[in-house]
Amino acid sequence: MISEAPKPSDLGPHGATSPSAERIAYLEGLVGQAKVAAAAFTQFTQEDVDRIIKPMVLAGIEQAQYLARLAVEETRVGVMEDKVIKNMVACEFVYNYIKDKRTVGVIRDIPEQNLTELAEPIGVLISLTPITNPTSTVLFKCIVAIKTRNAVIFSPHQRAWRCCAEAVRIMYETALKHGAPEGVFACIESPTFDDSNYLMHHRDIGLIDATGGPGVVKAAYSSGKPALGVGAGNTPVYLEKTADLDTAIVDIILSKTFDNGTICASEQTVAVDHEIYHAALEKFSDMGAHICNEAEAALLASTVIDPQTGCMRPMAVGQKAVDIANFIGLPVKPDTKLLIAPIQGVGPNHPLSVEKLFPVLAVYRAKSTADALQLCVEVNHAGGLGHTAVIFSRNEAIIQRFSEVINTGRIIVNTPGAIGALGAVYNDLVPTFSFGCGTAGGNSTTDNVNIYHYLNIKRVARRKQNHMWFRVPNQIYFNRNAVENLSKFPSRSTVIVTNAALQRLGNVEVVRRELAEATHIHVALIPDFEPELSAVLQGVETLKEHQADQIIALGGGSVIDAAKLMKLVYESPDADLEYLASPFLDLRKRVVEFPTEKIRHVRLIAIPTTSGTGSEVTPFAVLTDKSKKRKVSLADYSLTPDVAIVDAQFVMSMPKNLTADTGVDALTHALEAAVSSYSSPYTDSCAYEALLLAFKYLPIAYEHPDDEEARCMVHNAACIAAMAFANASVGVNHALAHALGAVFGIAHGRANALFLPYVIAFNAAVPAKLMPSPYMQGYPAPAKYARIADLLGLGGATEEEKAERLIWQVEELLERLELPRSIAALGVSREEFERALPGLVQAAFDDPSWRSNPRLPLMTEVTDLFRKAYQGRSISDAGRIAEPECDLNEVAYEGSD
Amino acid sequence: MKAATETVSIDERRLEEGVREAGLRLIRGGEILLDFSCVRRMGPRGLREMETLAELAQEKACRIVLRGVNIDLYKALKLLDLTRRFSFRNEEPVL
Repeated sequence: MISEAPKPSDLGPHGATSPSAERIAYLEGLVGQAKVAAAAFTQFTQEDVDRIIKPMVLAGIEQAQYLARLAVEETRVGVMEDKVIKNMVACEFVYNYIKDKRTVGVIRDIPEQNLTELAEPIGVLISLTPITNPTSTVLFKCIVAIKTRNAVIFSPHQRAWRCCAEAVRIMYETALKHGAPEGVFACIESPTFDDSNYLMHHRDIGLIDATGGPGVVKAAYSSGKPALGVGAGNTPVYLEKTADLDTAIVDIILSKTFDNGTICASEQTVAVDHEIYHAALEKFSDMGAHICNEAEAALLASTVIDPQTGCMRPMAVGQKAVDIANFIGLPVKPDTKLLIAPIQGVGPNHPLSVEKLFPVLAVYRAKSTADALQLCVEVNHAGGLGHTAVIFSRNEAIIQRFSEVINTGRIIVNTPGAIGALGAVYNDLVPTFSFGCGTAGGNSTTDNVNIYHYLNIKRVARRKQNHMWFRVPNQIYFNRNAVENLSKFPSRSTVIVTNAALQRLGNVEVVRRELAEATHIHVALIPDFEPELSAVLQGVETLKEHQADQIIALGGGSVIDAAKLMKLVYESPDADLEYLASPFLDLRKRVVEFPTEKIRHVRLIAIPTTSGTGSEVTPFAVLTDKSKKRKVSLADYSLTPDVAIVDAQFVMSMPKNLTADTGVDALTHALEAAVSSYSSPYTDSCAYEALLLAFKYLPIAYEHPDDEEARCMVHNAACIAAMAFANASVGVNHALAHALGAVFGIAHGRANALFLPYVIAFNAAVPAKLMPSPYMQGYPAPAKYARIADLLGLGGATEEEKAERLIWQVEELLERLELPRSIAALGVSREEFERALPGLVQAAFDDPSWRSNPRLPLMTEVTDLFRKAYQGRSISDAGRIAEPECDLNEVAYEGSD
Repeated sequence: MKAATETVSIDERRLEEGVREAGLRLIRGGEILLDFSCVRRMGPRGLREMETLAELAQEKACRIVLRGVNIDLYKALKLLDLTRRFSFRNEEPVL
């Protein structure tokens, strides 16, 4: 029997007025006791909480029928028998899900991420509950609240408050008996929207949990309080031709008639493939549905849908199909379960395409899969966004497609929608009585609301020790005549990449002698400066022409860098060098990926003919872009040569200035790697040994170029330093030098030398700005410089003093190598320098090198470093701090710490 | 002349009474020390008594010092905005 019921209150914020003083006092009393209860609750343990939950659940189950009857009597909505099931699901199924879950203290430990999660209760919640599922929603929320140590004030729908108050009473008394804090639950008597509105703005309310229609949800979110607002839906269903039709029809009827269709996840409009349309309707009819003809459907629509609002009429909500039919005069069988109305589309011209929380189902004959999907999307967008959708199909591809195009938090497959969405009965969705509808539905979540939405989850993030690495070529051969090892590498066709000067010196012949007679050898000459793209691509053509299986890069850094890039493009022709040179912050997290698929494989053997760049063991290559007047750096371990041969015979004829320039480059590599934010004990050991070798042998090699031992040791030092910076990278010294070198054409090592003393002082001081790096413990630069000073036997009592002595030692070495000590000394005028300075600072700051510097350089500091280098200073300017405690030449290399 | 500080030990089994009794001992301008060393947890009634005690202390311009308050209880008092109304003395942090 349908009677015209009062309209559900529209809990929109605009209609609110302030409650009376007496009412406010009443509400304040509820909040006050809930607040004290919540405070007391924070002291409870997991065991305390779990001890309370179980009897509450049992009480809810025991009273399920009683509460269901109360709900139906008060609301005149739904089916008592179904409400019993809902009440039991709210207790039993929810308990089954939460019983073993931790909600107090540590709730999850994730050791692989060094993360621990802890629960913090919210405090006091206000919970708005709907008319359609009043007692089940209350039971559910009480259980979840106790599990999470929260206090709740319930504000039920005005037409359901008595049954809700009774459900709250049962839960509260049971909880109290088993130790819950007094005042943990309260239910507003005779609630009004003004009451809810007052509480929704109350400062002591931590969260609004609003389950209901759009008005309720909107009011909750408009309050400015954190809110869970879950509300209306419009569930589209696709009955696809491959579905198990018998099961599908039963499931749809079961779901749509469950509690007279009051669950908002129930089916609303079914798109049926035309191939099975008639069979489906026949089965619906067989199972007790009445299929409306066109006139009946129109009459039904005009009765149950309000033409003004286009929404369902409240009077029909939760009523039986047969009562609705009788009300409008439809001749149906007395046992009719469901009224089915065919529709031709969605929207205002098809009134029955909206949400209908009663047993009226719209059906649509779909001409094709695409047509069915389109219809479902239309229904989804007509009030159902974010909520629930259903598909019956055996075709996984169509299920997948449906899931992609439909925007709902739940996509229920081959299952009754209403009960399927509740979770835990037909599937493993989290059991709930609140369906999150996502942002499309104006909600903050798409989840099935449960315990984790009633908790603040605190994450304890422990410092993570990232994996580090030490990657160098598989094989490194060193010392005089190491080139003989070339014979170990069989090759059918070898291209020797070198430059004309080295060929003239006879070095190519030395290499050629070590290769097998059968090997086809081609010599590719490239210019002796940092390679241009055109030179690289030309080299690749040469490799292709000779079908090379081996490249021997014989030369300085430029030649080896060119060979690295040739190998890259030769093996992976699609490699875009400019793209691969994109800047990055952390090598392991960078966006650009180097190619891993190779169409050819070629071995790269690097034989350095200078003692500086260390390119033979590094993953870096510099490419000059002449058109843009810039250099780009590529970095990837796939660029590292396969074999390095560090044979000092190739450096014996290095001119003095080149010995000094490249030697200082190596020294800078070691000094910067030692204090780099990526440094590790592995790189440190290389950096320290390289420094010992360089400080001892570089002046000798410079002053006595024929000293084979010195040449050999400096050559080794350069390679060892490169192993350090290949894995720890460099620092701000290199950034400055790159910028200066590019603008004024100053050799790289020479440019490094200009900044070295100032950069050590800069890093050794207390930084203005620290560099964030998970790899660094504390600020290690001063201690590391001190360690180096100690290894060199420089003396000094404090870290500061040791750093000063190290700077002195560096300056003394630079003077001994007769390197210019200022930019001015290189002939750059003050005006020219000042004009270039802003660009230099910008370029240095854009250079990736400084990102591994231990100290983050500010632009002003970069400017200052440039100015210091311009001005320069001699040892006499600097003033000798103290004599080293011993002569460096007497420091035993093997005996160092 | 400043009154001597009186010490009251609070027993968890009769917590509310203990706090209430402490309120009765408040002397205008005086100081009282409540020892909570034996209190593990306080329920809503006890917390309400603490609220009343704080109000009483304010009326009588008394200073109330709480000793041995464990951190869980301290947090509960904090949630009720009560910590600023008492002084705390813990010989060592009570975890």
